[in-house]
Amino acid sequence: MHNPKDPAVPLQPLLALENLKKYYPVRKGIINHTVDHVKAVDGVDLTIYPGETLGLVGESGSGKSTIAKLIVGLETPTEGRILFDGQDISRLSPREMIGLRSELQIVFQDPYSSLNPRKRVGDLLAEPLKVHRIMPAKDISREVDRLLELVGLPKNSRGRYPHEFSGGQRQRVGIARALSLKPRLVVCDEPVSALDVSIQAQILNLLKELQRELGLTYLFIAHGLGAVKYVSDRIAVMYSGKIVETGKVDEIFREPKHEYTRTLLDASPIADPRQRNKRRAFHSH
Amino acid sequence: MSEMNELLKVDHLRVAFDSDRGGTVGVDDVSFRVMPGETLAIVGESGSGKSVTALSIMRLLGGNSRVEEGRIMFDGRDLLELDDPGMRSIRGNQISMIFQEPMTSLNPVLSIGFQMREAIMLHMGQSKKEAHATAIRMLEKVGLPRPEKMMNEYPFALSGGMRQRVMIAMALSCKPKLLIADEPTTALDVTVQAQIMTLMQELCREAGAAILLITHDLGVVAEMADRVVVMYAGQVVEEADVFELFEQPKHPYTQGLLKSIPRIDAANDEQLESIPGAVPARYESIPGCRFTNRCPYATDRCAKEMPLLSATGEDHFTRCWEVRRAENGLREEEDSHA
Repeated sequence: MHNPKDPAVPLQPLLALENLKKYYPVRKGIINHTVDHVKAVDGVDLTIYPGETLGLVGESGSGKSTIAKLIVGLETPTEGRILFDGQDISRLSPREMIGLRSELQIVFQDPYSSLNPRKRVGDLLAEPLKVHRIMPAKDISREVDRLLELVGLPKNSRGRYPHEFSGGQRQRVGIARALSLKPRLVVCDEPVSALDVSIQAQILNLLKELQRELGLTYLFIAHGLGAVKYVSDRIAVMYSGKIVETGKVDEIFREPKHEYTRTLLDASPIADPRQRNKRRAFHSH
Repeated sequence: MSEMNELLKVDHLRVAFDSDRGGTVGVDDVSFRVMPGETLAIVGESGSGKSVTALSIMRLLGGNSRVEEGRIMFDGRDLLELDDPGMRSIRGNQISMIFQEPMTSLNPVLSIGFQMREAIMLHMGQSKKEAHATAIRMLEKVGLPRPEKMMNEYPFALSGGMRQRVMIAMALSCKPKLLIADEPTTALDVTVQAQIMTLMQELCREAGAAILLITHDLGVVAEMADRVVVMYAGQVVEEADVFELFEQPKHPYTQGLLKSIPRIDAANDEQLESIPGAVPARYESIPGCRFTNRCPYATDRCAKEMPLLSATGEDHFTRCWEVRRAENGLREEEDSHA
């Protein structure tokens, strides 16, 4: 695999998933014995290179959010390895994981539930800096200001609580918080799905700007193909726990190879009424 | 189009809510028409008042809200003037509604068959046996496998897409003239969404029913609608034919909205333009245009005086001072040339 930004230079992946599996047991009966497994993630191989955005698409239940949780250590894989910068991080102890937290962060879909409602935004942003002892206490205040500015929030935001913000602003807080530790990889799990259309573009542009500025690597998970196309360099398509196709964005959209990818593309509405007639043929049930 | 033909005419609708902080106006000066057999989409973001408008038509608003002004003419009658029995004879009969989450609109402890028969017997006056046959025929129509068996199933046993098919079968079994669909596919996966939308439109076309489609998704609007009403902060800001709206949007909000959707057919280097800022809180107290704080063309007048929804082309209406000024300017120019 070559560097997506500069094809001449071969690259070491920043993150590599190798035969990753996550099975959830289905239990039954009074002794709670396992009768079956739900194969949420079923043998996934995936690589993400430094500086790129890999878009992961699939419908609900395809396993894309489970992958996000496995990568950031919120779930332990049933099988397989997760290599971050060459090191297997899939079975780290909580203590070992702390060190990794500053390299690997996540932005969640719902900014309403991922921020502690009882803390002021200033404290929410200062907290990771204190926990990880990133800088002397006297510098933290200035750093919070810098983070707010980075994500386009006014300075007076620090004294306010999450509920005082709109959905888009709250997602900016979520992003600022994820970036406060200067991570190398940010997993964005449906970061704009809960936002209004006019706000989605703001957040997508912000994510792109920050990537350019800070050299971030993204795993961008979404079900909306438009958003994924807009931010991604490469795309992986997931269907019932497996990756069915990966490729460069324009290749996937121009020449989808897997049947499911084609189905997904054909079913995604295009905001142009002139295109509907040629698409009608497909939509029969 | 003549006044006589229209199926539904909403005229200067104003809906107010009681909240802890006193009364607020959720929907203000909303007017539009639905012609028989057409699909009219109401598009807007959360809180724009599109669902409140739909619920007002069905007279299903909660106890803390009331229609303060306006008329809702359906087939020549003002729905707001009807007594409860009168409204019940319209609701489910002449106007049906399907909602975003079919799980919450189906009764979880009654079988699909029971719920379908109940509606058909009530509205169509059919016997239990006839209603049973009608229900099976409708389930078949919406493409559900083994409809006889489906009659004995309970909602939890069905997938989201299947439940929405049941809702469509139920809604159309009473041959309504208007189907109100409030975000009918928002909870569904995109491949299922495409199937449900097509199904809904095909069946309505076949039955000659009009669709009032409430959605936030401009992609769905482009695929489905004949005409579009754009709502912002409780008001209609633009209404036009779907092709015209996407090609020549006039209101700055509509323009911004169309530029801010990431499209799957966009060129790779295309930059999204976002609308800065957010919908103002407590927008009902703003004296002028409610989009002023986000509008690139806003003038002093916009902040002070509320523009009215006015004709800015053939069957094209826009609520904007600047658009009106531009149009009037053009017209004056034409006049002076003549």
